[in-house]
Amino acid sequence: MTRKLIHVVFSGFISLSCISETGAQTGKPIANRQFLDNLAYPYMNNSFDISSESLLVQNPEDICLIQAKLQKNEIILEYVITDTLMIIVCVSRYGKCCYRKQVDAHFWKTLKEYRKELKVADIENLISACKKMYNMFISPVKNILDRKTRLIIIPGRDLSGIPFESFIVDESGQANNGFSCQHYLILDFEITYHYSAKYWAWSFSVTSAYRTNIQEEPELDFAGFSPVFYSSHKVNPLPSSRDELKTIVSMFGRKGLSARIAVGEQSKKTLFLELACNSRVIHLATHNSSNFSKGELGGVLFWDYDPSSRQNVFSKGILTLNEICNLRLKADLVVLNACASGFGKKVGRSGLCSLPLGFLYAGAKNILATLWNVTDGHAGKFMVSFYRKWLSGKTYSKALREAKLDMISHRETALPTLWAPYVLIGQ
Amino acid sequence: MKETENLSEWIERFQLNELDQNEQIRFLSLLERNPLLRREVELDKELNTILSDENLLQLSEKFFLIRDRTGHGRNKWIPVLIAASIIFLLTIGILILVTEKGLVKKFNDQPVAGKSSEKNKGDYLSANFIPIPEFEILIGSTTRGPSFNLKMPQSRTIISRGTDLVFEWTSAEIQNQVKIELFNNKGKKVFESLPYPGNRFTLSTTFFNPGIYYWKIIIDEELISLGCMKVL
Repeated sequence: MTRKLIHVVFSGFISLSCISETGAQTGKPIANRQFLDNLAYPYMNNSFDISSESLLVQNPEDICLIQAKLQKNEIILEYVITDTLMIIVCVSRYGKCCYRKQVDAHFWKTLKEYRKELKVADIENLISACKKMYNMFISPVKNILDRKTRLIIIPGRDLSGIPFESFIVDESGQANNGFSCQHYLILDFEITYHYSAKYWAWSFSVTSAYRTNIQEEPELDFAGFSPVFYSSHKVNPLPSSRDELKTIVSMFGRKGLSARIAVGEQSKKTLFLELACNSRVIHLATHNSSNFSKGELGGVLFWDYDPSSRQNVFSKGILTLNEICNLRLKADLVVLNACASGFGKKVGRSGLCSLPLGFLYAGAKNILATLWNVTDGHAGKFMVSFYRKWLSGKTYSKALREAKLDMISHRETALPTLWAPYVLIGQ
Repeated sequence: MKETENLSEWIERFQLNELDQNEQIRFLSLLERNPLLRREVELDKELNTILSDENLLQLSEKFFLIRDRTGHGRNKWIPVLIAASIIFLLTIGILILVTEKGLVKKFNDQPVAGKSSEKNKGDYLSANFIPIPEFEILIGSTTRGPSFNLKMPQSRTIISRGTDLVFEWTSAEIQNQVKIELFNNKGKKVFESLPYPGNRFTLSTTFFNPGIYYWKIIIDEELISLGCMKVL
């Protein structure tokens, strides 16, 4: 196996973990045409199928803008994978580099097995699968992560649904002493995701996709919706979602923040449409009917959900992706505490068509979503833990990381199947 | 025929030159016609030569003399060894019996003490009933996803070995194919069904050892439901 780390050397570049001399002197990020000349174009000439959003095909000026938004402790890792090649593009504030590796059938098989083992809670094979993932996707660039504490992952189409937090640092001699004793990547880094580095940087400078004059502050700090459901809805009742919202709203209340929740029959789509556009944090604790693997977009369910109209795009009681994209949100955070709410349908070269992408498009800055099925009880407890940490003054990514670390510290909840589905997408 | 029956006597007499003239003529004509007889006569002649060799006989006598002195080749110790073995086995048997009785009593008084086979068996069985914490916390939980309702069995079920475990469910997704996997309390998969399009599945527990087992209901390679059964 040939592994080749290509450092695109330009004036003053030492390595990504070190500030380049030129960069340190000028205090500005550096970009160079060579980056594209050496890397992107040769592949493009060979019909290299790549998203137009990829860092590989951005203008140096755009890369400069992206670097300007990065903090010193942050690094963007973009994964571009084709049938035969994987390229990891690493961009930090003062440097960038690429790593490339041939991809074979074993690569895809390992990836598929890991996904499966994670989702079905395969306690026998999961630890070794997580180590393999680390070796495949992090180990090649680990040297440049030395001084970084925050990873911004652009997983691309093929790695969507892969929680990098669950990767286990494969230290020689490390015994498989259970899930709570492993060195997960989340122990070393805060990890967030985005669909595109360019869009990530752009989102700092605009308020919504429409770039309208939505400048005023939202009236509500928190708007929560939990239909809970009865068996008549032909979906599983979610009793824990009621407790989840009540606990969270009381936490907001204690902080003197304005919050409103709609539980049970109050939790209708019309009320959501009314409140969502004027809330800082939108929280949905419900079912997700999306089944992207079968080409169905679906959406999140509300109390007025009518199962008989499910196949209809404008189904009653379902908030569809179409409708989400047409919202004008001021939300800083949207929490989609439903099953596989962050997973999407693969669309063309550009990646995914998913609910979080719709919310981002509508103007939300951050989306907390799930990558696979979450259980009602644990989903509620996890979110309460997340909000407690966030309301104590931590950032979203830090609060999410600490909520996960809390789960890892207890043997019962240390299984990545329980804590790894929650991912933060956005700024 | 008669000649054939007396053949060995004839050969011996022929070798010793004791045949009369008629007998000799008849034997020679027979010898001429029968190659097997010729071979027999030759072998007999060789044997007589060896037996008449005094040196060889002396050597043989010496060999038997030495063998007698060293005791090799004698079977006189075999009965003694058999008797000793029987006595030894009887002694071991009695010792085990006595020890067993003592430990059973001790085991009844102090369940933890002792190292009898009863205890080992108990340990073995109790080891099969140690739960997996990672699975225990997932038992009976409902997902916030596909509308799948497991009617049977209950999330925690106790059944006797040999009883059938019946799974019955309803799902809003008619086309869903359900897969059932069963794990022992070490996390090892002991059963896996093929993706199943129906809504009822019967699992025989005849070949399962007593212990805790965890079943998983999997749809589209995602865990939908997890439960536990104790086989007694």
